[in-house]
Amino acid sequence: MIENLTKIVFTGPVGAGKTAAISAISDVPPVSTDVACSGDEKKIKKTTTVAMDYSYIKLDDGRVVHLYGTPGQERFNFMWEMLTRNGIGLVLLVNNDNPDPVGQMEFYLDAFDSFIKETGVVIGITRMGISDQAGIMDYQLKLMERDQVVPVFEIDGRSSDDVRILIQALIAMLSV
Amino acid sequence: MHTSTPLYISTINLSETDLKIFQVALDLIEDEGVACKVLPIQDTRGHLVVIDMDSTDSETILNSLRPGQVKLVLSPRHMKGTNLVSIKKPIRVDSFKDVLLKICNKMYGQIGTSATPSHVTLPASPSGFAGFMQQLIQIKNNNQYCIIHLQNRQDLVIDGERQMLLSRESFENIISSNLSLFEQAKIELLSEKLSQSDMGNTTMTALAGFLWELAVKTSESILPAGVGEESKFSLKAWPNFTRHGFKPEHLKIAALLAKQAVSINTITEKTGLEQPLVQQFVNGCYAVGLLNLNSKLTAKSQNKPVDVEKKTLMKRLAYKLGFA
Repeated sequence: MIENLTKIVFTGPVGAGKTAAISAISDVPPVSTDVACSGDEKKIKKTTTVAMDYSYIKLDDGRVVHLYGTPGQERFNFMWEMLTRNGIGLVLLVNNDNPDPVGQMEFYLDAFDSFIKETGVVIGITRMGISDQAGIMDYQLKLMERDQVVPVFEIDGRSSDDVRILIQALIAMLSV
Repeated sequence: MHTSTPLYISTINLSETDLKIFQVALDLIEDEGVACKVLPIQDTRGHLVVIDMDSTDSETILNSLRPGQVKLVLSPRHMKGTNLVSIKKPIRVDSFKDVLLKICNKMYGQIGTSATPSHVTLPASPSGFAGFMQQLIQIKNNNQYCIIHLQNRQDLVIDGERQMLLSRESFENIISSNLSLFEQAKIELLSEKLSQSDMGNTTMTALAGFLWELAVKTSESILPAGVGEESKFSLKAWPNFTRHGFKPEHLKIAALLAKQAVSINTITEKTGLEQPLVQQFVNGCYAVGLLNLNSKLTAKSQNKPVDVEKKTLMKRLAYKLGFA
């Protein structure tokens, strides 16, 4: 039985575009708990989400799919398990501008391993246009090495079309 | 000995080390008067085809070779077959040289020694669109440069090093062309890339994107060599759908092929999609190297059928987001 509280969880490091991605597909603008960045995070962006983002999509039968964005900082990882409860799938966003973006992808795949095995994951790589740290092939090769055949797409987190294709792939995976 | 007619040799899926060993062995047999010519890597048209069986697509390539071609397979196990010689890995120069010499001497008896090298006719490459695509895939895989001469149209240039396609025409125009344009195209390999002044004003497109679009939109369901309607295959990785043109049905096919190795016929049965659509997707994946043609991937036990309620939820979500 699928409980009414059905979630899609968005995760990834600081600056990967989780808040923008949720905004791109949700019915209402997300409620974010952003604060001004400090330390190294300040170099990446002005504000960051310290607790979570939240929004939702209301379906035509009245059911609601809740969209949760995890805080980007690893120090908040105690919240990750809690946020994935009742989740139907994971959207992992990775910022290609990061010094080791492929390593970042691996980190989150490992951190959410059991949730991914129960549900499914789709991966969006953001900021590929402005950074050549890694190409899409580098991510694909790492996933092959890990024996994970999961969608990994180049996306612009602000583009609702790109985010929708990611979600479309997640739906396809969860339907077969 | 045999100095006039070169024997053409193909090397398929050899590792860097084995290629070096092969080259040394070849030098040694040439010292003994045997004339050989090595075709570009992965060109399968040789009289003798040296193939490493450790790669996932080797078996498919081996099966697609013509019966008349002699196959020298490098394999951890002994293999048997018509016109097939097996050499156990890891290979050593001495044993490789001995086997090559033996095969070459025997083969010279079959291909004759009277013709001059320029008269030796290479076995024909696959013709038509399939042949054209295969050549482009090889050029991409070998990071080569080439010019594609299209009839009554501007030439296209492939820069394999940067994995880009350079064209004076818009990408959309090229892709919307008829299959016959590409069937009649001539590919000229270049030893080095053209300078910017030779190229003039051009637009650049990712080569993988070009191959994908070309295969999906213009292949008209012609299957790649080695793929039949009943051959089973799976996906090595998902295509980069946000940057390649795709149809919503492609996601369904990809999701299935990511979980298990299935045939085209099984995909059409399971998804209810039309066969040409499935074939176009398969062509696209093959063109960008995402198809595992020798896959033994079976559905994992936890991949139990999706319950009806979850399927309904997914359908409603797809509908809400405008996918259905």
